[in-house]
Parts: sequence; C-alpha cells; structure tokens
Amino acid sequence: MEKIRKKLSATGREEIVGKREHVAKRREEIVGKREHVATGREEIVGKRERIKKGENREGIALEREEIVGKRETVATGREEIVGKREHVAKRREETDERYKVLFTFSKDAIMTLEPPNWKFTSGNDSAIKIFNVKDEKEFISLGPVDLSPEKQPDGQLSSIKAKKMIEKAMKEGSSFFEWTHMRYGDGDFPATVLLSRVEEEGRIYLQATVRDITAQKRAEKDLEKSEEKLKMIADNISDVLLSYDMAHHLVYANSAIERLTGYTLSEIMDFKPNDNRLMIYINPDDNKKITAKWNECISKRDLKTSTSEFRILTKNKETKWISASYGSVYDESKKQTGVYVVYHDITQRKEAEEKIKKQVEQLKELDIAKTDFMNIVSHELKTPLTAIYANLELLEEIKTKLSEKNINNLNALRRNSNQLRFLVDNILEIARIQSNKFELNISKIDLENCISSIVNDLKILSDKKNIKLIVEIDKPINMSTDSIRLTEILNNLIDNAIKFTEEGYVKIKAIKQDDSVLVEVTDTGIGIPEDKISKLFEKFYQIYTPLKSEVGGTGLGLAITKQLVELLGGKINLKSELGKGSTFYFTLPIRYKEEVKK
Amino acid sequence: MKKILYVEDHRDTAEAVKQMLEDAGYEVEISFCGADGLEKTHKKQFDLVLLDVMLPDMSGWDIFKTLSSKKYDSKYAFLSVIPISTERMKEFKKVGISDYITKPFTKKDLVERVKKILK
Repeated sequence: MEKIRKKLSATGREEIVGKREHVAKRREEIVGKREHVATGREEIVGKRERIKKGENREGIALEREEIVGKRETVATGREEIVGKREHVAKRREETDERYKVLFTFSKDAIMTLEPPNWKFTSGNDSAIKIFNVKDEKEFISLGPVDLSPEKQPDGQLSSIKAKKMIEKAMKEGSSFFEWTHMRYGDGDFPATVLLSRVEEEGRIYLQATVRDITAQKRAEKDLEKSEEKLKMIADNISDVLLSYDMAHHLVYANSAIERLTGYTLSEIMDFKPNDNRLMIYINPDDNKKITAKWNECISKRDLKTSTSEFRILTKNKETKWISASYGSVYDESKKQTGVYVVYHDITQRKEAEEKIKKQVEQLKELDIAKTDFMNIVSHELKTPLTAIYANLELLEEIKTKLSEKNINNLNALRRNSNQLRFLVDNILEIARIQSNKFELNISKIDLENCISSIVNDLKILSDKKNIKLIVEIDKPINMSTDSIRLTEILNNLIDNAIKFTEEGYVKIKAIKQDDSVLVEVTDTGIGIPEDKISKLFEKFYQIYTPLKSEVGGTGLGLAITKQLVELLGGKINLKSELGKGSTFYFTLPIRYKEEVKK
Repeated sequence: MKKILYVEDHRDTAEAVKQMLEDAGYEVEISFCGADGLEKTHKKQFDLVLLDVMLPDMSGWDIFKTLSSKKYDSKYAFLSVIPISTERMKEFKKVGISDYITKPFTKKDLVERVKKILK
C-alpha cells in the first residue's frame, strides 16, 4: 500500500491535469458502464464513517465530503488550476486521497499491470481476496493469464484473448469486457473487467478493475431458468392462458390456444374484432354473451370468481364448448391494467350432458307414450263396459220375471261388471294423473264437513262389519284445495281401513298445524309387514301379492292416493304393526299454491 | 214425440241406448258412422243429436261442427268414455253443446239428462 502511495505522490504536477482528465474520463466510462464505479463510490461514502472511527485521521472525513461535493466543479476547477498553483496542489492532494480511498476500500479488485510481460504490479485488498492469493507479494508475481482458465467461454485461449484486450485498452484508452477468471488454485468465476490506460512520468501502464459477477450471473441464470420453466408449464398445460390489456388487445397467449382453435397465434393476434366476432374463433351465436362478459371484466373491480361458458368455432369449423374464468390484472398502485382469462375445454362434458338430456327426453316421451297407451287401453275397456252396463240394466228391469237361478246369474254379472269398472276407472285415473292434462279445481272447503259426508257414505260398510267409525277434529279447519280430490284421498284411505279391519275401530283424526293440516286414518286391522311398507304405494303392488280374495281391489288405490296427495302439495306415509293395525297419515297445505304442483 | 239421433259405432251400446231412450218415450234412430249420421240429418229434423266422440270415419266433433255450421236446428250432447273438466264443459256450453255424458252411465242418469236437454 505504501508503495502505491509513494508512486502516486511522485507524480509530477505538470501531469496532474492530464491525470485528472484521465480520471474524469475513466469516471465517465465507469458511470456509463453498469454503474461500476457509482456503486464503488457509494461504498466509499459508507466507509468514510469507518475510517473516521478506526484510523482516527483528522480532517480526512471532512476533506472527503468536500471531494464529493465538489465533484461537479472539477471541470471548471481544471481551468483555475492552470492559473492557481496553490489550488492545483490542493486538488492534487484531494485527488490522490480520493483515488487512495477508491483503491483501498473498493469491493472490486483493482490492480495495475505493466508491459512488456503484463504482470501485475499492484493489487488492492479485494484483488488479493477475490483471486485467493496469500498477499500482494504473491499477487505481483502473477499475471492475468495465470489467474484465468486455459480457455474463455467463447473457446479462445485466455492468453491470446487477454493480449487482444490489453492491446485494445492500450490503443483506445480503455476496454470493458466480460472475462472468466480463476481463483488461484481454485475454481473459475465470471467477472467484468475494465482496463484503463494510465500514462505517468513517461510510463504507460494499465489499471484493471475486476468485479466478481458470480451472484449476478447466478441470478440471471435462475431468472432465465424460472422463466423457461414457466413458459414450459404454460405451453404444456392443456388450458389456454390469455392476457389482455384494457383495450382488449391480446398481450399474451400460451400455445394451448393454437391446439384448441387450430388458428396460429398470429392469426388470433391479427384478427380485428367485428359485430359478429370478438375473437377469430368465437361462435357468432355466442358473441353477444362474450362481449357482455368482457364489458363486465373491465368494469367490475373484483373478478376472482367470474366464469362463463360459451362455444368456439375452430378453424376446421368444429364447435367446442369452453368454460372461461376471468381475473383482473393490476399494477403496483392497484389500478386495473388488464384481464387474464383461462379457457378450459368442456366439450366432452357438454356432450355428455346433451346425451343425458336427450335420454331424459326419450324417457319422458316413453312415459307419455305409456300414459297414452293407458288412455287407449282404458278407452277400449270402457267401450264394451258401457255396452255391458246398458244391457245389464235393461235385463235387471225384468228381474222379477226371472227364476232364482237366473237372478243369481244376473247378480254375478253385475258384481263382476262392477269389479271390472272399478279396475278400469283406477287405471284411467292413474293415466290421467300422470298426463299433464290433469287439472285441479281449487275451492274453499270445511274439512269437518268433507270428512263427515265420507263417513256417512261408508257407514254402511263399517256397520256391516260392526266396526266403529270415530272422527276427531279439534277445531274447524277451512281449507282451500280440490274438494273432489281430497274426498277421493279420504275415501280411499277410510275404505281401505274398513276393508282390512275385522274388529275394533277406524279413527279419522285431523290436526291443524301452522299452514298445513295433518290427517290420520288409524285402524285396528291386520297391519302390514315392515318389509312391504315401502312397496305399498307402488302401482299394482297388490296384484302381485294378492290379499284375501274377498277383499278385492286393484292395487292402484294407494298409488292413486299418494299421487293425489302430492298433486295437492302434501305428503303421505304410514306406521303399522303386524296384527295390531295401521295408521296412514298425510299432510296438505291449508292453502293450495300453484307452485306446489310440479 | 221428440226425435233423437244417436251416432255410435259400438253396436251393442247403440242398441241398448236406443232401447233405454225408447222406453223413456223418445223416437230414436241410430247411425254406426259419421257419414250415415249426417245423411240422416238431411232427411229428418232431430230434436237432439247424441254423439260418440271417436267414430271410424270422423270424430263426433266433426259432425257437430258440420251441422252447427249449416245451422242445423238441434240440441247436441256427447257421450264419451273420456272424462272432461268442468272448465272444458263451460267452453262446450258456449258453443252450443248442451251436455257431456261420461260412459258408462246408468239408464236413470241418461234419461234424466236427456229429459233436461229437451225440456
């Protein structure tokens, strides 16, 4: 270090101007080239405090402040120096000091190297550290080629390339380049090198500033890698990623858009939106929908959950279904600067949905056909039944003239005709409920009156079996419902209860709840096995598991009852204990509402 | 004696109804198809035309429309196995259909309703 200082002090005054020019020029170069020295200068300022404390040199800190402050006036000062030797002397000292600080405390390795063999002649602390040499003595025994690998990354021999760089600096005054250096006896490291020609007391030599850019290179490489990785991910995912500015210009698209639409990225980018298509691949039928969505995207603040489904038309005129998710792009000040969109191809899902829809339609049609079929069957059954009834009635008019045996024949005809008619009526009823033509007539009714009249009609049956009919209604319940259908429901349940009860009672209980009524029909009959309860409301159930033959019935009664209860907006169910009896109970809204009907 | 025309393709039904109405004191003619029914109205003035809905050559509605457009002066009623709603019946009454009787029916019911129409 002392050596350097001596060398610098020995500099002739006449050469100061030239040297300062040199320094100024170098500074310009340095500023121009990646703020190389600017950083160094900041470091120096930071280190001033350390010097002040550690070295305790009076005035140094002050002087240095002046240097920084007077930097701008150096050029002007130059003119003054020529005339004012005192000033020149002072400035020389300042410059020396400045250079000394720069040299000593720079994080960059600073060294001098001299011809003809271009070995190092000096090196600062950083140079010793960066190149991993023992001390300055060892350092000056080496040259740049000794501290470089055999070849540079471009394949040139370090010895040849170093020569070229030195020649360039010597010729042009300086040269700045990237260089792969080698720590002494250790590995390589990337660096930037600034070579500056210095002329001093007739000697010409080079000063080199070497900066280790390993960290910078690593960061660049990492960034490159992560960008590559992101690009790879973006290009390999099947979903389309798009980014638009606020004017709906596409600023980014991954390659999935080409796979999805069949258009090239430039075809998509170059497309001018028109009234039919906002984008080249938009299905014109969905353009309005997408335009509306776009307007929403640029007017709404938070788009986190915005999605839309639409069709696109590929270059091959193939329709595809897209589910798009939208989000806002913001700048640092939270101002929206664009919109990003993710397209997910849902064609397969849509096709599956369409297929299911079609199947449902087909099933519905089948069901309607079945209902029509039942209508026709009922019609075909009822026509001969009409003839049977009419003719039977005409015969019954002359009953008194017939023998007892013939009267029995006639009664058998009547019984079975009735049975047949009951069956046909029920089939027709089911068909009608299931067709959409079923209509309800809503009117106001008093539930107690309704139950009483049914009980009166059925009393003949219960009296015959010596079964009590009990009615329990806590208070008058006025309802707004279809009285004919309600009568049918109650009639079916009470008639069934009497049919399946041999002794005891049948109790009808009505309880008013908030906006509905609960009706229970309890009997002390044979009961229903638990495993058959769930099947009880199915059509024709009884036909497959015939009960006692004298009981009769079509097996449609409960199915009809259930459907009627549901048509009136209610629910039906039952509790039963084998051998002890059953309770059928249903609820109905007190006021039937149109929307209840499905 | 009031005259009734009954158009019904089911012969056993037609004959039985004819007998029921004759017993009640009406003069009854029956046709087994629409064309024959219309033919009969050309020759005779009936007080009541009873129509089955489904006939082999045309529907009961077609016969009704033809006759009412010709201002054939008669009462009309349908006999059908297909039940209708009270709303629909109101519409029928507006266009001049006096009644709609659902099959099967009893003699008593039929005669009472015919009597009411022809009163």
